[in-house]
Amino acid sequence: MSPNEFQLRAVLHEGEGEDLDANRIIARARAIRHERRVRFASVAAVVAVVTGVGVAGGVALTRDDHHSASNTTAEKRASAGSGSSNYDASSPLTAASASAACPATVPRLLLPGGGSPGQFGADGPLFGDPVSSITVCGYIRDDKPLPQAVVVSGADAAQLAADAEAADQRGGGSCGASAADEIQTFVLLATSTTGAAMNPVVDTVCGTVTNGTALRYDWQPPKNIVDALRGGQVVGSPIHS
Amino acid sequence: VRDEAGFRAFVESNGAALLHAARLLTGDHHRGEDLVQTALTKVYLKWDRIEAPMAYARRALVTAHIDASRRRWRGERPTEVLPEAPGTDPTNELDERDELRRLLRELTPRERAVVVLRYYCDQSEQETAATLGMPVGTVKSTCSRALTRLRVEATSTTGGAA
Repeated sequence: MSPNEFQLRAVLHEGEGEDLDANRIIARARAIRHERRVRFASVAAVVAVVTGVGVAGGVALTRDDHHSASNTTAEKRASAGSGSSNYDASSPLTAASASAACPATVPRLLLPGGGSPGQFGADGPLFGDPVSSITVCGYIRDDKPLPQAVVVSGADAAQLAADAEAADQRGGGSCGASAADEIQTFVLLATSTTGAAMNPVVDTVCGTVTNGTALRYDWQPPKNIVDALRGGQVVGSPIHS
Repeated sequence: VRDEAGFRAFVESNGAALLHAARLLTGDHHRGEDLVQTALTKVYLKWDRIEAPMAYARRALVTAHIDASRRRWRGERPTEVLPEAPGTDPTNELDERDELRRLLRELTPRERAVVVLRYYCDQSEQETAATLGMPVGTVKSTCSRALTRLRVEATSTTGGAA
């Protein structure tokens, strides 16, 4: 057999005539369109979330820069006003119940910059905003706070914060005589002048002082605060170092 | 789709021809149904923007067929016994047609597409070239090669009886 064009056309046309169900095709097309739209919406949602996170991160970085600049200005102002960077140990202190004012355990903060001095903003401010008061808590162990906390407010609080900010940023210095003795850790809970609670600052005695983003070395609260934490007379009386 | 009634009318009037063309392209009843549904789904999704739906449908059909044949695995299937040669009787017209259908299935997907478009869909060489997106010269040479293969294979199968 050697097929001619007529035979070929005849073979090709054999068996034709079966109709198609348009409803089935339309249903399938609608399902495909729906699936495409869902997929597109999912991708759009992911893109929106990623963009939102990026924008929020950018805004946060901008705010950090702003706070850093304003804090530096505040430090300069405080330094110029007092003429000394030392905390006034004769200031009146207020006692508070540690169980009400302090966390039950020391907040665990990762050391910024991988623990290296001056890395990734570790030399930034410990207190992002001007402070109106600072509650100082002492811990014998991470899970054992002293029964009494000390509250410092007003200019004394600002000075205490400035002292902590001015501590060594590079580390490696000697710790010197510790006034804390058995106290292993201090936690400083500051309230800003706008009334907002700030991130806790954790101070391991003769170790690191950090709020999770900034890092200082070899600093501890003044002796009168440490004494007050140990249970000395506090309320309403000036305490001298 | 705004003109869904128009799409339904298109399927009712051309669906049978497209289904048959799809079966000729695939050489398989069920794969042909799948192929035509895939092509017509594409037509439905673009129905409002298509000016020549039949040309678009044919193009979608052959494109989907050639794409699918590229993806399909074409491995050897070893057998212990050689398949029997079909017992064709040159005097039997039915056998000849069966043989021709079998030979059509052995053409390459592109050759089969050219043959189906030229001799089943009655497209000109220019229309076939436009549907397949290839030059007219390539359509001519592909068609010529396909017909030669059909003749040679048919002649060798039947021992040159024709």
